[in-house]
Amino acid sequence: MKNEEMHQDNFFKGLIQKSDLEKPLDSFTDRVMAGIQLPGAKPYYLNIQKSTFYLIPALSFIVLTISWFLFPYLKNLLLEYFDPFLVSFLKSALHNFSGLFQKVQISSTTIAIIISILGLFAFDVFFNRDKMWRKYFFSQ
Amino acid sequence: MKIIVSCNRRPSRSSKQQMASNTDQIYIDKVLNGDSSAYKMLVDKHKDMAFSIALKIVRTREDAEELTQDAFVKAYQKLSSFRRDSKFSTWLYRIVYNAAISHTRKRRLESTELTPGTIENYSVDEISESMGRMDAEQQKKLVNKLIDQLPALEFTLINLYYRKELSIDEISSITDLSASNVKVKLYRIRKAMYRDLQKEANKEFNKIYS
Repeated sequence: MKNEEMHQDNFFKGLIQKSDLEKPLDSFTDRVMAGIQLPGAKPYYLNIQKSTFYLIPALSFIVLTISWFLFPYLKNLLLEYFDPFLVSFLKSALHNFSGLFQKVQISSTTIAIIISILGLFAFDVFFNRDKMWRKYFFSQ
Repeated sequence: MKIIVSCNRRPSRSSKQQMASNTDQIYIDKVLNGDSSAYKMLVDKHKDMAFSIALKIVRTREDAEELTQDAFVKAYQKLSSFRRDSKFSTWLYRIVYNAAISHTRKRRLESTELTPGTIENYSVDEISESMGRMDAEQQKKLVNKLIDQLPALEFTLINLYYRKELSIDEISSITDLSASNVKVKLYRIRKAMYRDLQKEANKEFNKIYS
């Protein structure tokens, strides 16, 4: 019985393989290859594992938070160290745009944060400008 | 004295499939290592089957081409997330199949219910005798005609099983049917096709000799 089934199966396979499949246009492969060359379609593989990718900012956040509360003198030290520079820098900047920012009062800490974020963004754009529109994947 | 014995065994279904799958893995590794041109080999290898499945479901060539093209691009984009526990072809056909189903806005495909009562038993010898009366071109034409008449789901099942030689479990994961359902459907399609082949072959024979 099993032999008969196998015989039928092989016969049927032979029949199916005699038939033709539908074929797309000749340009199909070229169109797919053009599609995958588009910047948005290009996969970019990060050389780190997904878990590591999330672990780094998580650990950094924990370390910074603990330091902030456990060592308050660090905070004061940082602010004192950077303040004179920031104040003189801002004074000259404000002088150049006299009248424009006179009524705006922002603490030096906020300005430091804004400048850091903008700096990091510019840094990121500069080093990843060829990968701007790529999709990112983690390595396996 | 050494005796070299040539063992020209035909590869079994699983070893043939294993070889094809290994070739795919080589191209996938090349693509993941930055050689995007290696993807061309995968496209050329699987485009006809993928396109045929899509065409059978969506029914217009333009839509089927666009859909298959999108499926290949999508597979490329997600290649790094492709889990190697399945074959690339199984994964790709699943993307194509699901995209085509979504395109038709139906989750289930129309399928003709082939009830066991309508299926008679035909022996392979009987059918091959009838087919033997036709030349190769006529046989091919007849088989093409019968396959073309099959509904989309049945067409997909027999092509994946008999042409691409995928396993029942692989077909089950592509079509979302249970393994036992795939088996039953394949059995019924085969029997129904035997019946139609017999009828058509007899018709052809009578046409020639009347």
